[in-house]
Amino acid sequence: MKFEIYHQLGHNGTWNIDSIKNENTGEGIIISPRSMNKKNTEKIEESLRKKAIFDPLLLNPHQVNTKMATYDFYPNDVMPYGFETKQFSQYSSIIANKCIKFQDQNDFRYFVIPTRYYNDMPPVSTLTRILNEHFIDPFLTAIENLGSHKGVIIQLILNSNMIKNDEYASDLLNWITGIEGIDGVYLITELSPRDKQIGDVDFLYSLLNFVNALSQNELEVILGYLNTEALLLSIANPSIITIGSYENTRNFNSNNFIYDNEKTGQKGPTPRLYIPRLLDWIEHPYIDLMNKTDPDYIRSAAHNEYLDQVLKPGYKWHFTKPEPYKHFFIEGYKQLREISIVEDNERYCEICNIIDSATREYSQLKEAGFELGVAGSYLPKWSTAAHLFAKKQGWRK
Amino acid sequence: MPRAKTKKVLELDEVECSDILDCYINPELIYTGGQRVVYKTNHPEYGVVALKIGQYRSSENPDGWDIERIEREIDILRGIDSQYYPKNFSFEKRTDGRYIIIEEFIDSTPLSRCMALFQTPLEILELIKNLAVGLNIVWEMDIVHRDLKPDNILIKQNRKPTIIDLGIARSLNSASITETLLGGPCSRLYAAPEQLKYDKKSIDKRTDQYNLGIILVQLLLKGTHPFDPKIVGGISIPQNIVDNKWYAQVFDSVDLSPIRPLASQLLGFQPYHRFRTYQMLIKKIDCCMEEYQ
Repeated sequence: MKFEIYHQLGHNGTWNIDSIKNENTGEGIIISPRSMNKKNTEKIEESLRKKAIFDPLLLNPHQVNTKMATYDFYPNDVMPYGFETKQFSQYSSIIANKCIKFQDQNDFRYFVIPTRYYNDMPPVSTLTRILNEHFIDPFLTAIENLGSHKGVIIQLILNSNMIKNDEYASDLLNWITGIEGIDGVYLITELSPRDKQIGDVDFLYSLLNFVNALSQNELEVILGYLNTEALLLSIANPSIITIGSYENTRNFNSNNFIYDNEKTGQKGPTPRLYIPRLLDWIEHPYIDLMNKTDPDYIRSAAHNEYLDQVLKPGYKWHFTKPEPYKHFFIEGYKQLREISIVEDNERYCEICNIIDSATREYSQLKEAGFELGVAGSYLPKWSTAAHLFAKKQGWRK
Repeated sequence: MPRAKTKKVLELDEVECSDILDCYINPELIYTGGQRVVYKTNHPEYGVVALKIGQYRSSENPDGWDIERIEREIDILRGIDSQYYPKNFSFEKRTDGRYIIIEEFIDSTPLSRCMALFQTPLEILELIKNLAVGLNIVWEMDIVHRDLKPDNILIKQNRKPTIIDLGIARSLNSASITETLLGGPCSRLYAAPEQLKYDKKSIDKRTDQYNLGIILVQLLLKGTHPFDPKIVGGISIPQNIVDNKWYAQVFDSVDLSPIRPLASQLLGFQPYHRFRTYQMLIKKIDCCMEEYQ
């Protein structure tokens, strides 16, 4: 199945929107109230808003930042004494009605039913009971009362232990696929601790199987907060894959939602540039050096105005500057788009070729003298996960 | 009309019911078992009916038998008007410990005794489709049958099935599904893995799909149970169900291979391996049927 590419909006979401409009780097956006207030959400031009997915973001009801506070459905606004877990059930219908009303008024692509996040592994029966009581049942009722026939997506945020535990994952899948009246899942996963790239082969393989099981059940699967592993995960046949700018939109970290640390001006990471053929973001001092020693190397596989800007002598690298991200939107999108037009076994083979090619590329760079930190050390793990998954699908003997 | 007392029946069933039978014209005994006798008779209002007389309490057993099970079935049947289920006309629970059910009489044979009627893949698939259509009637009421087996499927002259014994069917919204209900009354030979493992949270409409899957493959195997240790080894059918060991080789033949995807999905070990929706199930059955048309 051909998948769509959406932008996970975070801080400076206008970069993403501009990129979609000007460079055609995506089919839609995922909006989060954490980074876009109500007024700005409503101001998004209609054509884009109708295709947008709205993430109500109720995963941590204690944490409502100033932008989120502009919406009227957060527990602090609805519950007279602020959020209290024990009281939440009494207010869940009010919250659901307000949230669904907002989603309906803005005519987003789907109705999204929010979720809570658990960093441990509560018994599945407990987890599902809470999610049913607090979100799924009241939201489905609110949607039904509205009489709309628009698709309904449930959001799920799962930690890596939940995904890697076969029994737990099976119980979750039995529950999800048994929910009447939904059309898909907006799935976010957290691997903690993790490096910038995912090197946990068990997690990747388990996640591929999880996504595939949902897809086999003819559910839309929207994968949020993805880094370049989006390419690998595409073999499990999701419907929508996301790309993002800042790392906190490409790597789900629950701490970001426990402590409101999305503030501009804080000390940021070393700026990086995405190199498609390496399947990774490379720190800018290496980029400068590559450009100096072999000016054609980076340009040989990517061409865009933002790349030209960052490769200009004297470019002032800073993680808050848009060019590296806009370059990624173009090149990352291009890479995913090429993959999306092939399916199943063919997609798997193509992705294996890309991974193998990246591995060779790192070797050549090493021979040329570049010691690039992790230097693609996660790539064999990606290949392994892909091969094992392919074997299970009968694509590989 | 006066009726000669059938002393034999009363002795057989230990149910004193002659006073009730006296009210009907020539009741013909068609079944005895448990605490119940069933007669075919003519009812002045409903025509030919099945008259079921049973005992839910006696002086020897003052605590009684499971009348709840009967009442549950009556409740469900009263909400259904379909060729796939017998119509319930009346239910009376008497203070003397007896109950009387008047139900549509179905002129039929249990599938367990007429499997040979369904010979070709197309005939078998047609029956499975009819059963799926019938089951969907209770699924839409958020009810799971939970005990679908050949004994509970009556085949009429026109080969259409009637599904009976909704005694352990249960609303999915009910919070009181007990362990006893889950494991006890359902037939262990046709149970889904989640039933045999007493996995209450996993029991839903897809549990009935598994039962349907066993019946499908059993019909294709000319009556042999697909989990029978005689063909797949192991110690028992229920254990083989829990071990996911069934005779999938039946689909190695070119003739039956088109049915493999349907059967494999119905017999998916986990509910999420089965069909998420009724529409998906019917689509797959129709696809299979097209192969044989």
